Amino acid sequence: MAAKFTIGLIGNPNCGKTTIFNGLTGARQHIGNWPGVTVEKKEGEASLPGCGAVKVVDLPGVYSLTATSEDERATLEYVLSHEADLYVNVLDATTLERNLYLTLLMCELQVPMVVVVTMMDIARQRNIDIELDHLAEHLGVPVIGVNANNPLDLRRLFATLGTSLSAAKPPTIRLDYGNELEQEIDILSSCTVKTAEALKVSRRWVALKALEGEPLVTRALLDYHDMAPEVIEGAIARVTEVLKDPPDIELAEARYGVIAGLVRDVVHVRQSKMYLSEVIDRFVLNRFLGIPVFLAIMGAVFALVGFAGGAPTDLCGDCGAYLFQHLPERFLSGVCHAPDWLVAVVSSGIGGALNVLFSFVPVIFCMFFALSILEDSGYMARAAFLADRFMRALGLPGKSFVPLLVGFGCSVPAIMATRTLESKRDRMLTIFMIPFMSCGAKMPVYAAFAVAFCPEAPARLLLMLYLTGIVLGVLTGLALKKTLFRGEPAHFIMELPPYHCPRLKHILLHTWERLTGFLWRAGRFIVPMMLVMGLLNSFDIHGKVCTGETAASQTLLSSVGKALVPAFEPIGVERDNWPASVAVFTGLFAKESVIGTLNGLYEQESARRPPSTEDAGAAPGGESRPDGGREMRRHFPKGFHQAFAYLLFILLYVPCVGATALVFKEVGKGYGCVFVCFLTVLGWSVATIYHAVLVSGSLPWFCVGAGLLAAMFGGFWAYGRRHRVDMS
Amino acid sequence: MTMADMKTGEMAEITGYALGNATYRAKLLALGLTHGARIKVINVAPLGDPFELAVRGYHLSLRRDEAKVIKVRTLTKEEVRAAGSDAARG
Repeated sequence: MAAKFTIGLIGNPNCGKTTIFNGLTGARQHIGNWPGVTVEKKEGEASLPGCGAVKVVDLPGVYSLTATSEDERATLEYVLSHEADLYVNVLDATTLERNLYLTLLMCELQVPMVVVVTMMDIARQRNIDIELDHLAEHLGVPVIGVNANNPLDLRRLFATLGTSLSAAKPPTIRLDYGNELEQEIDILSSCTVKTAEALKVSRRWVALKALEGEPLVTRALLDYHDMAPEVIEGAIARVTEVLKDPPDIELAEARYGVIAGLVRDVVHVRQSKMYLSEVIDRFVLNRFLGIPVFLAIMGAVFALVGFAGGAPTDLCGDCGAYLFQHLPERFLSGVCHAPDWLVAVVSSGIGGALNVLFSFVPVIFCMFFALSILEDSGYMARAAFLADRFMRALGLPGKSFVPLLVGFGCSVPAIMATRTLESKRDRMLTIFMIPFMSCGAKMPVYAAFAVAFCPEAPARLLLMLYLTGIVLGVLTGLALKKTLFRGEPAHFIMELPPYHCPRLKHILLHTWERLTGFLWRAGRFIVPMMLVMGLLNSFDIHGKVCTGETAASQTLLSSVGKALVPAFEPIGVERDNWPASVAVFTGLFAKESVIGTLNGLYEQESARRPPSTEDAGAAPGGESRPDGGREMRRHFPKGFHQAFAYLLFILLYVPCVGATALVFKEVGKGYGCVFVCFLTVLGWSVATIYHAVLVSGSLPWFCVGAGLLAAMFGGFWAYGRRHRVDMS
Repeated sequence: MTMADMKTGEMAEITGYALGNATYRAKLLALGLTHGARIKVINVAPLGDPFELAVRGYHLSLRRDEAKVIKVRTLTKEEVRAAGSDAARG
C-alpha cells in the first residue's frame, strides 16, 4: 500500500535520530542518495495507529537550516520541498540547549511538528531534570521524552505521531528580534512575495534567511527577481551599523537568548559530576598515550579488514565462482548444449562480473563493521581530532586517515569509507590518494619480483615500493591541493560526543544497510565494467572463444597488450617481453592477475623455446616446473632497476576495474576520467623517468616523462584556477 | 584576546567575532558560540592542535588558527568560583 503520509526526522548529528528511525521503521528501510549530493538518504515505512503505513524520511543531521554543507543543503531542500506532513524533531536531552536552536528554526518555518527528547535516562543519570510538559507549553507543539530502547516509550511515540498526523498544527511560539531587526525584517518581507510563494513559506521567513545570508534562499530571491543584491546588502549594512554586529550574529544571539529563557524555566540541573566520557578522554586524548592508542585502534581496524581480505574473500570468491560461473557453464554446455560463445558470455562475462562483486562482500562488510563501531562508540571523532594536525599538512581533515589506511587492504572499501568525510573536496582528494596506498592484491606481484630480483633481501624491495607509494601519494596530495582541488580546506568544527558502549544490533543493522547499498548501487557500475573486461578476455580477435593452453595469449585483451608493447618500451618493457604488457591489462581485473599472467605466458614462451645450454642445467628435460624467477630475469635482462621501473608502473597505474568503477560512481564521470588519465600518465612518467635515469640513461625519454608530468600538473593548475570544487 | 590564545583549563566568555569567513561563523553561531556564552578549554591534541572546548553542555573541537576570529574575555577568579567548577558545561 502506498503511504498516505510522510514524516521527516530532523535533528542534530548524534542526537539519537537514527535510533528513533530504526525504532519507527524496523527493518523496512532503504538507503538512497539525495539528489545532487553524495549524502545518504534513508527512507523507511512505519505503521501508525489510525494512519496506516507512513513513509519516514531520515534527514541528515544538522545544527541549523543554513545550507553551508552538503548535509545541510540536502536537509534544507527537503524541508522546502514540503513533502513531509509532519516533522519529528529529535533532541538530545543531555545537550538540550544546543538542540533547541534547530527546534526554534523549525518553529519559524511554521511546519507541523512533534518534539521527541531522547536519552532521557542518561540525562537523569547526570541529574538533569526536564519538564517536558512545560517545554511543550512554551513551544506550542507536543513534546515527548523517550529512551529509544524502551518498547513502551516507542509505543507512546507511535500513538503521539498518529494523533499529531491526523490533526497536524504548526507551532505557536513566535520569536521577537527587537525593534531594529524587526523593522528590517518588515521592510525585506514586503519584497519577498514571489520567492515566498514559490517556496511555500512565509514572507517573514524568507526575509530572515536573507538577513542571515543563507545561500539557497538568497539565490532564490535573486532568481525570482524579488530583490536586487544591493537591497539585501543595504539591509545588512544598516543592521550592522545600528547594532554593531551583522544580522546573522544578532539573530543567533536572540535565538539563544530565547533558549536560555526556556532552559532556565524547564531544565533543572541538581549537581553535575565528572562523566565517564571525560575520564576516558584523559587517557585517549592524552599527550603521551593519545597517539599510541590511536595507532593501536587503527591497527586493529586494518587487521580486521586485512583478515577479511584473506581467507573469507578467497572462500567467497570460490563459492561465487562455483555459483555464478561453473554451475551456469555446466548447465549451459552440459544440459542445454549451448554454443561456446553463449557459455563464455554467461559464465566468463556475467558470471565473472557477479563473482568479482561477490568477492568484495567480506572486505566491505568488515570495513563497515569496524567503521560503525568507531562511529557508534564516539571514537571516530577522537581519531579525527588526533590525526587532524598531521593530515592537515596534506590539506586533508583528520578523518581521511581511516580511508587511506583501509586503502592498504583494498581500494574498494577505502573509497566507500570516504563517505564519512563531510566536504566534497576532501572526499575527492582522498579518493585520488587512495591508489597510492598499495592494496593487498599488489603484494603477490611485488613478492614475486622481490624473490626474483632481490633474493637476498626481498623485504627491502617490498618496503621500498610501499614507501614510494606513500611518498608519491603525499606529494600528489600536496600537488593536487595546489592545482586541481584548490580552495581552502573545509573548516574544522567537530563535536566530540560522549562515548557510549557500541550497540551490536544498531551496528549490525547499519553495516547491513551500507553493505546492501554498496551491492546495489556500486554493483550497477562494477558489473557492466567487469562484463566488458570479461568478454575482452574470453574472445579472440576473430570473435572466437579462446580455450585451451594458449588461450591467454590470444584473447582480445592480450592482443591489445601486444599491440601496445611499444608504449611500454620507455619504462623498460622490451619488445620480446610482451607478456609484461599483457599483464598490465589483465591486472585491470585484479592486481594479483599480473603475476598469474606473467607466469603463465612466460611458461608458454619457455616451453616453445628450444632448450639452451643455460636451461639444460637447471631444468633437465623440462620435467620440473620452470622457475618463474629465472624467466622473469630473462625478460628483464638489465636486472633490478629495469624490474623496479615496471613495478613502479604497476604500483601507480589505474586500480582494478572494481575500484575504478566505484570512483566513477563517487566522483562523477568527468573527475572519473581525470582520475584514470592522471594515474596512467603519472605511472608511465614516473616509471619512464626512473628507467631513463637508472637503466637506459636516455635523456630524450627523461625529458618526455618530466614534460608529461609538468604538462599534466600545469593543466590541473589552469583548470583549478577556473573551477573551484565546491567546498561543501 | 581570542579563543586561540586560551590555555587548557582556562575559562572565558565570548565577546564577539572578528571579521572573517561567514560560513564558518554561521556554523559556530548555530552551535551556540554567541556573545556571552561561557567556554572552557578541556584538552589539546597531542600534536598541539586542534583543541577541545566545553560550551553549552557539550564538547566541541576547533583549530587554533581558525578560532582566532572568536574574541573572548577570560573570567576573573570570582566569576569562575561563582560559576562553579562545571559552569562551562551549562
